[in-house]
Amino acid sequence: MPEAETSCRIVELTVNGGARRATVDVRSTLLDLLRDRIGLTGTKKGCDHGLCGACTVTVDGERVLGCLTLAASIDGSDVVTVEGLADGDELSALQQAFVEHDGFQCGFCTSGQLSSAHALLREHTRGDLSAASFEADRGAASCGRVCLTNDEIRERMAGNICRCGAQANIVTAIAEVGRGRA
Amino acid sequence: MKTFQFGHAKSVDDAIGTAVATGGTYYAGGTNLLDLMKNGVEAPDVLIDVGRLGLDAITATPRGGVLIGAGATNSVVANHPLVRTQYPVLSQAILSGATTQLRNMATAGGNLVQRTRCPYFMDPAFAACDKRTPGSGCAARGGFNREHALFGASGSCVAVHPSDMAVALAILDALVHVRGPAGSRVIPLDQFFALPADHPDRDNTLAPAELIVGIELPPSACADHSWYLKVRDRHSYAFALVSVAVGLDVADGVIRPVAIAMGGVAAKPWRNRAAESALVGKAPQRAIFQSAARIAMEGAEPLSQNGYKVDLGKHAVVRALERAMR
Amino acid sequence: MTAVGRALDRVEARAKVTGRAVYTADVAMPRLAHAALVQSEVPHGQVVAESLLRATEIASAAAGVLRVITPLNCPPLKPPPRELSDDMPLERRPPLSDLTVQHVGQHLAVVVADTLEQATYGASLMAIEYETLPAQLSARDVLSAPAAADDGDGQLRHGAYRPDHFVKLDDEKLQDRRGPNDEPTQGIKVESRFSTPINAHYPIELAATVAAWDGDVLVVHDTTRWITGERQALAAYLDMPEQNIRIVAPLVGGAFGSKSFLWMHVALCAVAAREVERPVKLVLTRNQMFSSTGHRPRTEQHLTLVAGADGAIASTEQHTVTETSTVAHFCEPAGLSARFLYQSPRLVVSHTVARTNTPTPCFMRGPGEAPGLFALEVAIDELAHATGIDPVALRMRNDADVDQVSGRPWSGKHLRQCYEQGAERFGWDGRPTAPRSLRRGDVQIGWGMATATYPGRRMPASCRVTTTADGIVRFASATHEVGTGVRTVMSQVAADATGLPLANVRFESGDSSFPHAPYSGASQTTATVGSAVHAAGLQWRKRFGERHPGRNGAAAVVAALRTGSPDLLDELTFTVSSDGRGEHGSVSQSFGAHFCEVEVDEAIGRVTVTRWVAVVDCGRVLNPKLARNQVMGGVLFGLGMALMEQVPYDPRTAQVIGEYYVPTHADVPDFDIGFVDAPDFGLDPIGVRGIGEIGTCGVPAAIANAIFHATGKRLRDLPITIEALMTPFDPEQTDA
Repeated sequence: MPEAETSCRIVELTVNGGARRATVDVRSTLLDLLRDRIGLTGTKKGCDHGLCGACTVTVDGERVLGCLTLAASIDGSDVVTVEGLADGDELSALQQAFVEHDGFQCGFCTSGQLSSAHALLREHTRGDLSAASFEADRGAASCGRVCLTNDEIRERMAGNICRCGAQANIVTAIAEVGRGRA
Repeated sequence: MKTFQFGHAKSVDDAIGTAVATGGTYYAGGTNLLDLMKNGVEAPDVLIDVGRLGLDAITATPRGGVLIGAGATNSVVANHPLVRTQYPVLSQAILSGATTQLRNMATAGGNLVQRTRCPYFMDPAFAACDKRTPGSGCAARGGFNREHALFGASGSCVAVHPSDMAVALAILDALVHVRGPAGSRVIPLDQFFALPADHPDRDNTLAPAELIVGIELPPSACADHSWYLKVRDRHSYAFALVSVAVGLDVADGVIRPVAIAMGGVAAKPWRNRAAESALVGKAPQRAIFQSAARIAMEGAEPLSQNGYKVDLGKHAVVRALERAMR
Repeated sequence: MTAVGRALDRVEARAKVTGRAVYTADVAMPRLAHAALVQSEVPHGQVVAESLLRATEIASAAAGVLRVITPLNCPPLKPPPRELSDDMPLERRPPLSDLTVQHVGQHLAVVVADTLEQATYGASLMAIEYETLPAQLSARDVLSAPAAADDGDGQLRHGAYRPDHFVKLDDEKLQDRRGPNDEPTQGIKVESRFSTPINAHYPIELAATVAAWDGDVLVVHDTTRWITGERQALAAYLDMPEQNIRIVAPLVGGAFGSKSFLWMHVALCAVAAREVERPVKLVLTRNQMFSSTGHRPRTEQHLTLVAGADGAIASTEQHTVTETSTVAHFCEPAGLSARFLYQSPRLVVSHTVARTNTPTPCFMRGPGEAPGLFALEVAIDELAHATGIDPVALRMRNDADVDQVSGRPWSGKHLRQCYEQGAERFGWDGRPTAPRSLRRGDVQIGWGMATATYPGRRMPASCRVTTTADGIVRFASATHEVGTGVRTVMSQVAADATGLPLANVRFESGDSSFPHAPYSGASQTTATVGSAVHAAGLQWRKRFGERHPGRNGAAAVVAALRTGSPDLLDELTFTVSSDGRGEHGSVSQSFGAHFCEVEVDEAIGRVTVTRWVAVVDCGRVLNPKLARNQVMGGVLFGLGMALMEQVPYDPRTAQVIGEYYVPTHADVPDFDIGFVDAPDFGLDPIGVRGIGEIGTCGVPAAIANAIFHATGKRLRDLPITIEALMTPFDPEQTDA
């Protein structure tokens, strides 16, 4: 099979509400597109192989890993990164809670933690389950909405590794905002 | 990684046609394939993206079962009301795998064709891997094999299949719907995966250019008494060392249908029909479960580092059955 | 109300939660090129020159590749200063020196290209052949064979050795004894062997460097936690004056002991930038992080305690065998705590280091203490069990009033309070003595505890103060914000020392153009930089007072600055230095107590740490919110070490395989953290003793001791795995 002649593509995305158009190497991941082409460096690369969750962003409303998303495969999608979580200068409730509860130390995994945390609350509101839901109350798992306990939060956040060990404060922040919702 | 041509297929026929014409590889969520491409294990010249074929519906079948579109993400499948209520063990198994982010990306079809996590397979720096390079040998047999197979292995490959979803599908007697150049066919799950035997490079029985379009679940009587137990090295976000899916129904104090399958012990979900037979017609008690567990692990062929999986497997079968009855 | 002692938000918090915080890999510049490393795949041997030439040709021809630098064409680099490499894990041999290979992961080439994808692909094309030689991959290999002679002008060393002291600290003797020659023949004896595996720091931020030349001046953005040391090392490697090198590292995404000393890839990035005449960015892959930024080496420890029936320890012996590379010195000082932690009239401590064909190790959080206290605190627990004395009571029985090594008193020690408060918060009183007494459903429950200790350290540092007409006073030092919160607590110290409101002070770090600070490690930064900041703040207040006597109150002071003459602002702009630790006087040590509960599901070998109480005596707590987070982080670091962390190596090829597991959210216990918060002015004028590492110290032992209490199984090898915990299915049968 002869090697491909053109290895570049045009990818059009909506990123944090704004239209973006980039010419990328077809091998580019969404992570590298965001960081190197668009200059949105808030999303971080911690492993590039789907093992740490630092590159978590939202694509078409669902949280995914930027490092394992081929940019070319999501042409036309809607992407939200950490830079898009605040409303202008006003931090989101979760961002504010992270600040108050010290939900970080070095801060490198924080963008991914926040993207996941925002998604987690959306997922829980719409009734999504986790592996922890089966340990707690199987009845709720099959039909009701599960209670957002700390165990649920931990399981739902388990894909975001924090080596500094700020997980306890992250869970406190999420739980507080979770309780504050209707 | 090596560069490649990339295109979104416009229809299933278009995907298949392109695959036949170019020898290209189907690309769905990419969570496994892109990772392997980064490692240099896979180096396709053409990627055929099958993410926009509308294969993501989950519907009830006339028989009272469910048909899961191959393009539905793992998260969507696990949380779907039909799956949660009729097949909770499938929901639980899927949710035990990976992380939410990965489950949001990976598709049902992709989950079946994901490749082994054997570290010798995943890193071309290790030359001896018959699954990756037939004829080069198996480095795991004489090396690091703590996570490898007890059953169905061959001299040339001791890898295990990493899917949690597939283990649940195995006890649900799932049917894999595929379409290819020769038309459509349905493959019972038990015949979908291939044991290494003489061709460790083949993980499954798909023919070239065949595309999974759906996974069908027949009606199950075991929804009320089912469980997926996964044993791993940390509490979440790790592949199974051993896992067990069980489903049973109890009537008049005795077990009637029962299905047991194990993950982490072979290149396919390991259904234990002899253990099942030992349970049918018996009362659901620990001693009975223990007998069945011993039968389930008969014939295990431990390697130098994975012998613990034999006892672990027995414990896990008993525990899964007890949890299913709670 | 003082700023110190308040639970303030981090000063960079907003930047971190909005994605605006800038880390090294985020740095962009015009014409930036990208580099990828090619590393050795064999542990010992020689690269076949022909194959390297061929590989270079192939990679060079790949799309976008600008240059391929190898030992065959790299401008020769000079060795780092002996004063550093003699005592610290700096490799004696510069990178790309020659074709010999001393370990897997040794740098063999740098591929520089226009884009990251092109550099990575180019590197993947380099198929290198080796003439392999037998490799010694463990201490066992080394100790069972005669040692080869040193070669490479002493840059390569072989065999085993017994270093005298730890790094440059003459007093921290690695071979030590006191008291009678012979071990007592009477008494209760505990003799055990322990092993700890290779651990990786695994910061989430990958090590990254951006190097750019402007004529003869080199600017390096690097994820480093030792700006001044790196500058010194680069100046040596590149044979250029230090003042022509600027290092910038405003934020570092976690270090835990890495990101220093092993600067070979940084030097290569600088060389690459010079060769292609463009700035070059090099980011290590996660796999490369295991071999290129150091690791905690293996230890095997043989520990013997002899005590009377009343639990009074008469003799302690701790003998450690550990490993380093053939190209650098490092000794994991596991036996240092035994010298002083418990009263023991007789003591023997030894360390033997074997030089193996493995990557160079280096400090990792709690170097020495982490593995050493695992062994000591489990042995103490074994002694408690053997004597029937409660583990806390036994430790109190052997609490040392003075530092037995120097004979000097502690500058502050509240360990008994830590034990008492920790026990009370935990509910330790209710603990049944016998193992296997507590059960809940399918799980055995166990309660365990351990002592934590870590030295209070302090080195010289300097701080510059700059006062500007906007009423802001900036304090700056070349230290590093790696997640410890130094920028925040230094602001608090500065505010109190000057008397200014927090809003009017700033603390800046991360630039070699700032005055000197040592490496951020050894839990010394707060004491070290804090002393300089404190002195600078007091000096500022004095100078202001001389110019505006009688002007008091923050508002008035700030107003004076805003309306002040350039003269005033000049007077209030200066640099101050502070000393390191004094040679005499008291000894500074921090202490703590860990208490934990575990659930062990013996059928499936699964352990869960459910709750954790830690009470820490680390001097004054400058910011309780940050301090609590730091201790919890330390505990989790130790939990990983105990239950899941080991770098898996293929036994035949010495290559890393598989995944390194660190704790996820789902592994985290409930925490109750307390501080004694008694200022200790023996080490520094602000009363702190350092907090970065003590959280980890003793944690693996507390967990192992809890597991013993739950199961009756005494586990002495880390990590504790499913295989070790699982009970046989049919204990009566011989074939499982």
